[in-house]
Amino acid sequence: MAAPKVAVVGAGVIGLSTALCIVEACPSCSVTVLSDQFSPNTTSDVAAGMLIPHTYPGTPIHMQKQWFKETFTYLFAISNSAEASEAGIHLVSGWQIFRSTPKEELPFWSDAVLGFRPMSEAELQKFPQYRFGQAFTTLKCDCPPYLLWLEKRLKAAGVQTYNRKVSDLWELHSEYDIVVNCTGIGAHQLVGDKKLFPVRGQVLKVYAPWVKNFIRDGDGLTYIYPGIHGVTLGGTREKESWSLSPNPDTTKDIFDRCCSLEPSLREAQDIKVKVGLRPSRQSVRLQREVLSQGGVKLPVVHNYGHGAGGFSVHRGTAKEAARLVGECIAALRGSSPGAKL
Amino acid sequence: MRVAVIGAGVIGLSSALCIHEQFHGLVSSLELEIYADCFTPHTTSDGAAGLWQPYLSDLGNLQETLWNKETFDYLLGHLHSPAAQEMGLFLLSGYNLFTEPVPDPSWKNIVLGFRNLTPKELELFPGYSYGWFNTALMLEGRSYLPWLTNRLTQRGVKFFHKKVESFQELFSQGVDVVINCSGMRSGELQPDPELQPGRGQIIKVLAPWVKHFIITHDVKSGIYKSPYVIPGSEFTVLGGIYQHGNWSEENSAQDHKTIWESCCRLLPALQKAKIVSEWSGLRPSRPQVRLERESIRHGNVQGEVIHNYGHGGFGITIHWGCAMAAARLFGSILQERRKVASSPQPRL
Repeated sequence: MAAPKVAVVGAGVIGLSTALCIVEACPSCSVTVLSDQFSPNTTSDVAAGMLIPHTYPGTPIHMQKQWFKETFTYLFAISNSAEASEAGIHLVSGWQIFRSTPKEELPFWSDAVLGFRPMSEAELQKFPQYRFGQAFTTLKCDCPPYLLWLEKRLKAAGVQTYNRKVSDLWELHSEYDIVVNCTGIGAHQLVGDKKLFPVRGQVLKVYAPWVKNFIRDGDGLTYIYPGIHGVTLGGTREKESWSLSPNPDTTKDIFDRCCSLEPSLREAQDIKVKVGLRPSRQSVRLQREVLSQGGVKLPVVHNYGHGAGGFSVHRGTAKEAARLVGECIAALRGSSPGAKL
Repeated sequence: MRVAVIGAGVIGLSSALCIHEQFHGLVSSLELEIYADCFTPHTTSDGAAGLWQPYLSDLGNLQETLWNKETFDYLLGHLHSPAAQEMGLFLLSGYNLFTEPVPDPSWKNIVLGFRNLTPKELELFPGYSYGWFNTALMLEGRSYLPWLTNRLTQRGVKFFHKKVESFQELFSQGVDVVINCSGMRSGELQPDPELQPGRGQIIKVLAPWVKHFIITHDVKSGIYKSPYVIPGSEFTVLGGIYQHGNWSEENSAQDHKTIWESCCRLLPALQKAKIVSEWSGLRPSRPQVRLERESIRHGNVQGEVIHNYGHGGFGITIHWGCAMAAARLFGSILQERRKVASSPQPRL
């Protein structure tokens, strides 16, 4: 098998970063990205892209920590380079606040972000209804810029992208040697994963360029994330809701909650509403599988189910997926001469 | 009682507002007038980035440290008011960088969350081995000065676009008290060899991905001679020029090169920033702020002057504390006049 043909299905942050990691790890591979949606219409485009991890109950903490650290290190280098603005990566400082002191005062990622420490009394005075808080500096990946930058890097590496709806992974078996499934919430339908469920998030993107610090309620429901071209105000976590239509009552509620944390947001302009379905799962499905039909085999690498933490761990999981692709290639090469190619 | 303020930068406007707020109700027929030959957006205050941060050392000027603190606390109190955005007031976090350890500044407990930088943070800034992180305030002149002007106009304060040539000129017109907030050109009203220009030049760019201020320090060279990056609500200011004794307000190509190259080296992400404009201004520098009363007599013309000038590169940082001190001095003038007016003996 001279040049393994790899199809990556999905063009959100997971699909694009996985494709890039594959081509970096295996330059001789021919990698193609197939998706029915590209930026600015992916779930990733709705997310603020803040590097604040979500905890997966089913994944070992040391692994989540490693994925986060790898992702942080990778983006940190870009943020400090001339490419930062094009890639949409920038540092941002702020506060995570709690109405009552959390059980876990030090999250597993506290030493991976910058300058993590408890908030001082003076800082907490800005939030009279909150008793405890953490101050730190982290990274933000703005979309569309980050996805467009990834697409540009892929193109430069010879990766083709096609707008195509894949209804069944098997339909790819004749054109590709290995399929990588980065379909996010689409995996519910595509591979029938019933453990995958949507957590609907509605956000507002507003123009309020004087807001330079992030503010996040530790309950994860109310947050203010300043980006390059707008501030993302959130949000909601509606389990099992599949609706992509903005809810006007929710819009008002989000706006009011954010204004109570940052009153100057009352002057925000150009309010846009977006909805995304977090592809949620107890653990990220990051594993190999071999599909077979009538004696023909199709190796598949799954990399989906990142829920609320996609950006935070994307590079780490993409590298692991690329490693699994490498295992698939080795397995294919090690097979009998009668196997494909 | 006619009071004339000379100067419409941050010092003049805030002094006027502070005096009017405190005494308008107490003094019948208080007429407040502002005289200036230049108004926003053409004042020195308009060129400043607007970051609240005093110099590294207060040089024993405890008074000035107190005025700085009063200003910070006053502004912090306005942060959640509906006026904040209109005032150009918002929180901003950022970095102060050094090539060697330095003592903590006088303002470490005034700002929010002051701490030393961690080794990982210092990795962002090769060449710097020590630093601070804190959250401070931005007060943008381009918004604050118009806001002050609106408040004053609403209160019936009159503005005169006029270059005042002497204090006597105003006294002979019937002005009782002059508040001298003429900044860099105070020397034209009364010679002051201690007042010297600290010329600065800045480049304004579009770089909305920059969310922190970054101020580097070269302790041997002196303040503002080392690159700094300060993001505003719309533009980011790049600077790092301080030339003592240089009166030129022309942009220098050499300074442009110095600022651009040093700031891009400091923050590589700036390389793609679009340059929007460039500006030079003169910081009204003085070993300490001149904030004091003076009785001026010239022939049969006399009056009281309250000097409030010489705020160097920290005018925005110290303005409200000075305005209140000027108002206190005004209060003492009023008190003296009342005593004389109510005295049973005939006026001499």
